[in-house]
This record gives sequence, C-alpha cells and structure tokens, in this order.
Amino acid sequence: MHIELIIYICSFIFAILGVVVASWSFIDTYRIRSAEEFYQARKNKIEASNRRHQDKLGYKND
Amino acid sequence: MNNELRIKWLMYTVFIGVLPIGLRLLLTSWGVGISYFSTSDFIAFGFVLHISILNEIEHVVGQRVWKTVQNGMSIIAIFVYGAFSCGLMLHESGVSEVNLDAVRNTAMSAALVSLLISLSVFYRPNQVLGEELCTSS
Repeated sequence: MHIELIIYICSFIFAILGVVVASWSFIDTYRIRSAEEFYQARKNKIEASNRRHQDKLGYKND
Repeated sequence: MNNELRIKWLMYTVFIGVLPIGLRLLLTSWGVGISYFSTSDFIAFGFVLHISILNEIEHVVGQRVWKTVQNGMSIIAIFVYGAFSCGLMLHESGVSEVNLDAVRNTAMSAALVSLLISLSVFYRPNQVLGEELCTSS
C-alpha cells in the first residue's frame, strides 16, 4: 500500500514538473527564434546602411 | 540542432526506444500469448530518452539556464525510472504490496511526459545568434 502510494506521488510530481519544464522550454524556444529573426533583420539593415554609405563615399571620391 | 542531427536523434533514440513496445504489439497482433504492454518496455523507453537528452545537451552552445533546467529534469527522471525498476524487482521478489498495474500505468504516463520533454529539447536550436540580445541568461 505504501509503496504504491509513494510511486503514485513520485510520478505525479514528475509529470507536473515535466509538463511545466517542457512548456517553458517550448515558449522560450519560440521567444528565442523570434528574437533571432529580429536580430537578423536588424543586422541586414545595418549592413545595407553601411553599404549605401560606402557607395556614397566612393561616388564623392570619384 | 540542425536538421540532420535532429533526424539522427529521432531515429537513434525515439525509434529505438519505441522498438520493444512496437515489437510486443506486433507479436500480440499475430496471436502470441503475451500482454499488450509491459512496464519494463516503458522504463527502457524513458531511460533511453533521458540519457540521450543528457548527451545532446552537451552539444548546445551557451544557453546555460536552459541547459541546467533540462539536465536537472533528466536526472530527476532517471531517479523516477529507477524507482519504477525497483518496484518491478520488489514485485518479482514476491512483495505483494507492489501493484504491478499501478506501476505500469504510472510508467506509461511518465514515458509520455518524457516524450514531451524530449520534443522540447528536439525543437531547441543548439546555437543562438546574438545570444546576448536574445536570452535572459
């Protein structure tokens, strides 16, 4: 009786913890992927801006 | 993780873990006189998933908080599956207090939770671009 109860309690705690950790991990992964997209877009914008600046300078020097 | 690693991980861990459960179901469908589900199959499945998670986490760059949480969860899971094995052995030794059906049902639920955890590891990228901007760790 006691062994059965201990097994039930252990697995219940494990199931709750597991669901919480997996949900948190899924949400955090989604957040990270969105932030990565934002980071990449920002990086592309900065690179394009730098390129335009370099072109302008080259044009003036000519 | 990149796609190739993901497929490898899925094939080498989830598929191999599910293999004994699938074989048992196949044999049962052919009329072999065994029960549909066995506790030891689910325990083995859980062990395979969590040991592979521990191995895969080693390849993740940075993301220290996430790694610590997943490591801790896998260690707890290995203890839980160890407890299930202990219950099985006690039953085998003749301790009548251990209800085999209860152990089997809880092992099945725990294996389902382990699959959910391993899916959450499976979808995680192993390297984050601009991590200093993206993560809270």
